[in-house]
Amino acid sequence: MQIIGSRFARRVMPALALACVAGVSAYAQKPPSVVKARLVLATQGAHSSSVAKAAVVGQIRAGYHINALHPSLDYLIPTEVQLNRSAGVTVERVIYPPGRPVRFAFLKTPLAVYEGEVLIGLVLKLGRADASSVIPLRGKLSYQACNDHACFAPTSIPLRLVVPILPASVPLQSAHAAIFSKIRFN
Amino acid sequence: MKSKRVILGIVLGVIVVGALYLINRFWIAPATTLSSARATTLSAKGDSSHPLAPEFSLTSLSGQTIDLKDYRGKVVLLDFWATWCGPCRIEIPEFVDLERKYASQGLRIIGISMDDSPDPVRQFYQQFNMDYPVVMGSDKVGELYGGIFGLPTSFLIGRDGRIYAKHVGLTGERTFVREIQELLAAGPNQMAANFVAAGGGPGSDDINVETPAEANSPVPGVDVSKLTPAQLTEYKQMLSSEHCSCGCGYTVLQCRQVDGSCETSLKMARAALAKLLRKNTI
Repeated sequence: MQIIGSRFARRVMPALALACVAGVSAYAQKPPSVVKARLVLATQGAHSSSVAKAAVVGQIRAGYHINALHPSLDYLIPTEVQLNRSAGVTVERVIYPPGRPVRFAFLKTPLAVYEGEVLIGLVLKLGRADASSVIPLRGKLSYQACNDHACFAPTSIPLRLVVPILPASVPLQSAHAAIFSKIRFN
Repeated sequence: MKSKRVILGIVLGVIVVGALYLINRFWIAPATTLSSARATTLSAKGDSSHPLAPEFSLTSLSGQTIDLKDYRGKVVLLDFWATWCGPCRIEIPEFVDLERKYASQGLRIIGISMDDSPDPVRQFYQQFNMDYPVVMGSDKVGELYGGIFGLPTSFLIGRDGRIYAKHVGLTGERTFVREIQELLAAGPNQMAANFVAAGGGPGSDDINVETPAEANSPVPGVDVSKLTPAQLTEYKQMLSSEHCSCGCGYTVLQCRQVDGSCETSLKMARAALAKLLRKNTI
């Protein structure tokens, strides 16, 4: 009772509870994803009340594919990017690349898929924000992957990005130019 | 005083971690068996090369209770699939034909759908004229069978209730026919002592170049037939503790089971086997 009531216990118990949750989660067997993805900004930051470009950079493991946004067959699960509602940011447009038609052993007709690197553009409208503040963005890339003879359960990868708000006097400099040059924003 | 608290914290931490392990080992894990207390896991009981098929009891789309123990004496093809899985959709019409052809000899097929919702499964069931039972699966059912990481995954269960073959991915119909015929040839509840896998590990039997021992191995592509049960357990633990360097993020064992075409995991699995055998020789 003395231990439970002590200041020490009040500090340690929540940490132990967290460790329990983490332990159980880690123990649960779950197949890892075959896709890696990150969210990047086209500039080093953004100005308040402006439009910014971002991109999801996905890397699909060799030998695997994920369905395009508009899969060739209605039963296939599309690849989609979703950003959570965040104060001060609106997603104006999401620009998906066209799927590449690929023929697989299990189908006579080609399927529209993404393989290798997949770049998905995002046009973000930022609301008013204080200079030197940051706007956190969170979302996910949902997909369902297959190789040429087996498929894997639909899953998603969390996406995170912090958009630094710069004073209007600070000029924006491009970042990740090689990535953004490959996305057709227009 | 401070050091006492640190020690107390460490002791508490150890107790919690130990309790977690025990809770998972004896409470959470058995709860995933879904069925009676007699449920088994793939490696828990029986012959190491032909483990007993874990029992489950689930309700089919038509409301029928499907209890695997009721199928003892039959040859069962257990098919984990999903409507969104292209290769699965190729195999299912073949399975419908297979059951019609071999049902009188004792073949039964059970489909375990890994879809999230039964609605598309019902549509598919009618569209493809499926006449064998389909139940809705879950990760828990998958875990019973060692984790279902790729679809389709099919298990061939003999009349004695043991698993004789596992196929991950699209597998040729000829492979199933040969294996089913061999299993049907065994007497009621008898072990199919002479069963030889037709090949067709992960992928198509057309491209299979594995020996039967490699193809029918719990570590696809690696012949483990000469290992003792204890060595096999140790070997699988070795492969489960090492991540495949191909970049897939899987352990070597998972990678072998999911992607039979991965040369990296095959090399790593064979190297681990050589290491184990060397250790046992010394």
